[in-house]
Amino acid sequence: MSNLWDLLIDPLLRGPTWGTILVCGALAAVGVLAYVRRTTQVGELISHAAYPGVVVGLLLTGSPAGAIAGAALSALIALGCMGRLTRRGLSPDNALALVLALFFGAGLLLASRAQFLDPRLFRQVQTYLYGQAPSMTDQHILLYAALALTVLLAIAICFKELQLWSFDPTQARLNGLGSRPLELMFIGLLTLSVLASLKAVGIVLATAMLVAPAVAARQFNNRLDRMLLWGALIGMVSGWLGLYCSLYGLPAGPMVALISVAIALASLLVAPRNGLLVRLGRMARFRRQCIDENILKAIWRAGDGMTTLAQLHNCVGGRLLSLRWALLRLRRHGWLTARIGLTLDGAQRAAVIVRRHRLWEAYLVTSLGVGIERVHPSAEEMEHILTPEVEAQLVQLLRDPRHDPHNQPIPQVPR
Amino acid sequence: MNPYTDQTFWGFFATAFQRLFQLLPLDQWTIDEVQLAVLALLGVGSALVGSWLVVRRMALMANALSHGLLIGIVAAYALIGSTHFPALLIGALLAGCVTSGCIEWLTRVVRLSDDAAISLIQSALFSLGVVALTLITRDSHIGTEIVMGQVDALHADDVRQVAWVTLVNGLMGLLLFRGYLITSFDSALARSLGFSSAWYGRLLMAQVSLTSIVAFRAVGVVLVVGLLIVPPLTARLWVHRIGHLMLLAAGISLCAALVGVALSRHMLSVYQMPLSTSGIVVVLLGVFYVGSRAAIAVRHWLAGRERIDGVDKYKILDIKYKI
Repeated sequence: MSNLWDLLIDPLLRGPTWGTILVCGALAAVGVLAYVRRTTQVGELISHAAYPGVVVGLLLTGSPAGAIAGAALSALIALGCMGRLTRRGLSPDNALALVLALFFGAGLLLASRAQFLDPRLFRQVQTYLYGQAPSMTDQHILLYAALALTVLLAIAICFKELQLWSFDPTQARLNGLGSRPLELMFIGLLTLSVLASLKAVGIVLATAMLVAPAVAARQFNNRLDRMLLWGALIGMVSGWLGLYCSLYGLPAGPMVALISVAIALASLLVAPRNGLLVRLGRMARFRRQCIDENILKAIWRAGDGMTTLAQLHNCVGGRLLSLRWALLRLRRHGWLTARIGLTLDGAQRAAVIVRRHRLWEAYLVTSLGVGIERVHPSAEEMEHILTPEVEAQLVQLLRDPRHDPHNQPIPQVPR
Repeated sequence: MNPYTDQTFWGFFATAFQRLFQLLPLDQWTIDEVQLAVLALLGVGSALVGSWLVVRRMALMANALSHGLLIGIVAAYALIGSTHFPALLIGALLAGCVTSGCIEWLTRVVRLSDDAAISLIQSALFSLGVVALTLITRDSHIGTEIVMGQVDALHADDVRQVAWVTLVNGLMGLLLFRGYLITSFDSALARSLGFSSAWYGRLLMAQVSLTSIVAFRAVGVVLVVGLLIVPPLTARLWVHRIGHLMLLAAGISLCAALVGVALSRHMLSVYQMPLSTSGIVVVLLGVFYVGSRAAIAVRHWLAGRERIDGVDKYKILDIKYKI
């Protein structure tokens, strides 16, 4: 079986491969714009509403060009209907679902007519539902390269305007930027690329290519230009891999969609800054740090009075098992002796925490005028959060106090 | 011999009316009567559910759910080996849970925006369904049937199933009316009275998947959305109370089913043109919607001409009641 690279040059396979890659790139780039404008579902509308047009175009002309022209026409009519309905006060989601269902229903009606008139034609109609990538040829490469180039150029030329219009429509209007031409251009690009994808991923799955690469790109970037590049890249890679799966008998269109969604989900989970697992890990680490520091503090406060685990458990609370686990951890750090007692390092660490706690109380009372009886809970939280820099600033602000508001000594820690 | 063969539009109704009084057992119903019963019951049931979908703005969730259903159907077929009722029911409820659960997880825990989450999950589940289907059956016939519906393959069992589901939807509509009402329109009051908006939303999604699963044989999963959304939106143009909305929407669906089946027979008898009955029903719903819009526009135009001392009557209403 050929490997991934052969797909790109093999004379029979390069047509479908490059065609799918280019179409997916273009779709994904437009999808990024749709994603930041929160209108990804419009792609769903276009792809479903194109159905009656495809049938009529095929019935009238019998050629793929006719099908595409019909699809474009009915998609634009549907978009016009939706815009009109929303302007008349229907909520956008209801309007979208309404237009989508009605156009698809009309498409089904027409398709049943086509089935009766010409079963061969009907099968051709069906291929537009799920796409039929393997039937693409070298000519499609040129066609789709032209499409991708158009989309890319259009976005590149109007990038500044698109950016302003997407994120700050009011400012865009103030700058004399009419939203109408930009909106028309955006919708035009969207329609163009969704329709071009009919052959590659099919009517039903174009939405995946619009939304999934954009979601993935958003996880790694917070600038629109980089998001566009990343989105296009992720789209192209999923097109390539999806097509590779089709060599093993899996349908190409759905596989392209599945791979892009898998990439999106994976990046939602593990992206460096925003990924869910990364966020959860950060939270767990912080919680562990709080437990450790509370234990150190409790032992430090008790001095020699704390000898048994039960006493410590009374003092710190929480589950006994997690307490034992934390003690093990602290011993490995070298902060705790074999019994319940602090090493020199541990004592210093505990002193730092108590110092931050009392400094914060002093700050709240003297600088913010908070009542003495109310400062303790806040300090219980802040002692884990304060950094050495903030601590130094507090010391400077409060002129290095020796006692906190409760008249407890603030421990001095040698640097 | 089918008594409806070569009947025209009105002849269809005449025959149906005559046969109504013969009180035939369900097994002796002809295909036209089965279609009529299924589409009418389905229309009423989905209009009752769809009214809440429309006022809660969950139309797109329902659309996503109808896409997710495919994987449920395929799973039922693969694991239990049948596409009959109990297996399908379990598959559908499971698919409904997975779809709405995933979307809720993405929006609440992962903090993705609503529309992106819905698009992502619906296309993921749908393509998963298509892939699984291709692997299992090696042909896309069932896939096409699931998307398109196969109204000609209905039989008496389908009538029973649809009747049960419509009964359930009707009962839920009656019993939980206040809960749905309060969670849809006043979430603050609902919270203070102890109604959980989220759970009512999930219950509604369960009702939607129940309705969709019996509907997929008749109209296909995509058009279920049409049956759910369009009649309530049409009714919304005429009435302003949720109870009236539900009744009128059910009436509109019923009407579309009656006219649709008769029209389908008429086209076959007179023009020898077999058309998809479910397609006709949805297009009729669309015609009703556009017609209602037009009628209301005409009414406003006429009313605009009735002026009191040179002032538009509707302007006065606008100012006085802010409508």
